Amino acid sequence: MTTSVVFSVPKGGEVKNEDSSAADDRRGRWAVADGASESVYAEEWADILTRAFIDRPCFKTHRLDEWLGPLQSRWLREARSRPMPWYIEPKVEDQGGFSTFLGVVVERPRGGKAEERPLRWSAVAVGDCCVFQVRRGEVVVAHPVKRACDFGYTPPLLKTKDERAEAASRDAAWIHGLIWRPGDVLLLMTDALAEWFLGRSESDGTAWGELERFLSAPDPQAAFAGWVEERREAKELRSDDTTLVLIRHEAAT
Amino acid sequence: MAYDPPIDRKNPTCILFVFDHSSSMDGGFGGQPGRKKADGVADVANRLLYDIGIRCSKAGDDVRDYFHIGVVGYGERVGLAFGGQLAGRELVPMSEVAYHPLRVETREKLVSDGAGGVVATTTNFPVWFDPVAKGETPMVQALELARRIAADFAAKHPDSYPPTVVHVTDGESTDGDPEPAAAALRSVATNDGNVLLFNAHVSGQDVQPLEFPSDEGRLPDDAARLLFRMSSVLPPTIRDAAVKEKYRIGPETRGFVFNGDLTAVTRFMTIGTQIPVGERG
Repeated sequence: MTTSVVFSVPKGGEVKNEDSSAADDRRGRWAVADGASESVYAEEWADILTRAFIDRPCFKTHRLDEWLGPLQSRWLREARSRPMPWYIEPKVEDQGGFSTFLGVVVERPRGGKAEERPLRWSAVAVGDCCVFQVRRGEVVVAHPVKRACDFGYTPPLLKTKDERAEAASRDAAWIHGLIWRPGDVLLLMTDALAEWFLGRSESDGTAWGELERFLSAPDPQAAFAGWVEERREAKELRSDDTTLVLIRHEAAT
Repeated sequence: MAYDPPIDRKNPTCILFVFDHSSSMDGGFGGQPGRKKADGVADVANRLLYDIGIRCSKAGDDVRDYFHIGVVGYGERVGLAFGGQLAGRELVPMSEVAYHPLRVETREKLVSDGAGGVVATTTNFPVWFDPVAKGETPMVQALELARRIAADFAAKHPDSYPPTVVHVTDGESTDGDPEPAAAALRSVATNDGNVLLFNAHVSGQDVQPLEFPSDEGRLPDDAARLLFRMSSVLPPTIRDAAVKEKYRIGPETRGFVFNGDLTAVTRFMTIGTQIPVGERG
């Protein structure tokens, strides 16, 4: 049985959050996206991406550009239907929206006995939203960023306007068919949290333990928000929209 | 690291413009026949605010107050230089600046027609400042007023990215040596670092523009050399950002521009996930 829970807190001083997440536990599909702070209608673009992935994951063809085409048109149509003051028009018409993206699917391979066919997970990422597989408290897989020092302010981004159709496919980092055992946890994170998580995992291995603490609090959502605020004040966590999707896989009972 | 705290609405930063409005600004702008230095200043100012407004906009009704903007003008008088609905305001959150230009002009621009050619279209361009050229050049007083405004901001926002001051002039002070006033302005600090003072020299000389030089030896005259010395040495994070924008930068590089493009200055400040240079429209 697979269950997920989403936590998300906006950047300091903001009410709106340009992170987006979508989940379908039954079909084993999850996605997060982080709209670029400087781009226009970034939240809308991030939402379009995550919802589209849940409806139709892009693993069939491995051609992200084909998957993106209709989504780009949808974004432009929606953006143009809104007011266009001077500070919006050049962003919509000349720049477009930008977002990082991560999609994860979990599937049970066909054929043979179920107990001999463990679940397998796959992911596609553009930019620095990350997925981590944690087994017995240890990070066993980190994708696509492997080290905390590899985070920066200019990750690859999915664009609403892209003349080079192949660029999205080129920037995509795929990972396929990893075994997901009962008890394993998958963590999807947007960049600020992922950077903290990797850094803490590298330094003393206590990252998962710290997250588990607020997960077991009476009100995990409030505990997460409070924890994010504390880490930001301690300057351990960048002030950025911060999202965590936690997916558990328990053995069927 | 200094000059690297996240700029957000809770921890905004301040950009303070100091504009020379003296009568000498009525003179010609080097290499651009028919154009006055005062036109150059108004253009730089309007383009900088246009760029910042676009950077901070998220949606039709949402311009984020990552920046608080102040404008000091000096010439016939020394004082706050926003006009229209913003007249008399010292520091104005960017959303209000965006919503209240003096006017919005329609300008023609050329865009790709998708088939290798270009077609003319129009775009809206806001104007906050018209050219002014009247009176003397009380640069020292203007820098002192800027210091006071920057210090007020730093006191209210002690953990913010420090104020950035952009001073545009033709460089000849009439109320004394501006170097000490510039040093006092640069000494204002938040917990993150000192005020960054950028100077842009608009000159009548028809010489090659120079952006972010590293030594005064390459500069054409005393006024330019003085402004170079008044400018902040670029800190490492700004140097990195400038290198990404293809500027040739070294450890001695200062925030000084001679008849050049100053609009890069505000792009050196990080407000989160950046979109790649060249795709900012």
